[in-house]
Amino acid sequence: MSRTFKITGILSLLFIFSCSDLEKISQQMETIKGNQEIILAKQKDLDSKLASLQVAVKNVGAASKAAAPKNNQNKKRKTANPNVSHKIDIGNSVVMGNPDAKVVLTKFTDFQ
Amino acid sequence: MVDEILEKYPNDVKVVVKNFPLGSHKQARKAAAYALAAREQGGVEAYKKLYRKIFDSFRDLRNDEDLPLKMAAELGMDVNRMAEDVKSQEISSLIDYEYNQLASLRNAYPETEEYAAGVRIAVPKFFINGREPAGRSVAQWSAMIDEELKK
Repeated sequence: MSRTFKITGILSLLFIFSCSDLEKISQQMETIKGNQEIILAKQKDLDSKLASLQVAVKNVGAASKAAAPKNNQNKKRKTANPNVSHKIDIGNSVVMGNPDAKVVLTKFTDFQ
Repeated sequence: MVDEILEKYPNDVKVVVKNFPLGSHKQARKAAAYALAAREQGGVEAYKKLYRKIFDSFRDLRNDEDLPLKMAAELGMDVNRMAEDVKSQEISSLIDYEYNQLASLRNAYPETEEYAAGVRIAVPKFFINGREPAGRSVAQWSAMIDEELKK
């Protein structure tokens, strides 16, 4: 008799604990569910931000590609304008060759 | 290159040599003055001889900026006179004048789509009747000289 009583007691205790555990678990599940919703919302937000970032990067790429030929052109040093005739007086500078020659080849020099 | 042009156009082209001593080489200006001092006593031929000699061993001038005096002695020039002439105001003014002639062309004209703005200041720099040839070949220079001769 006392054995049956003991077993019943233990089972009752187990049942009580189980019930409180189940309640706890249920509460935790609710919390997790809530958190999951928050995470999903954040992920959705990140997805849309990533999509717009990809579009922006694509646009920047296209823009730099379009600008590239211009940049290359700038990098190549432009030559002096041969159509401009500068007035460079002979003055008292050293003259070689026929002093009456029609064409003057002026050389600016340094000892290097 | 210049010699080739003078050979090709002995009557139609004269060469004018102007100094543009770069600020980073303090011996450069003095060397230019020495070459011009040689002209004072031996004309253009003396100038050419000393210029060539200085040009060939310009690096040695770093240790002795008056080395051109010894070179002039080797060429049989009047060294005492040269030591005086190199200090003359005329020569100093001429170098300033020549230097400024090129320096003033830096912003001579604005940049266009095809050409750079003004003259790029670097030496050696050549002009044919004041025009800067696009390249540095006898063919390119000859084309410009022929063009000038037709004017």
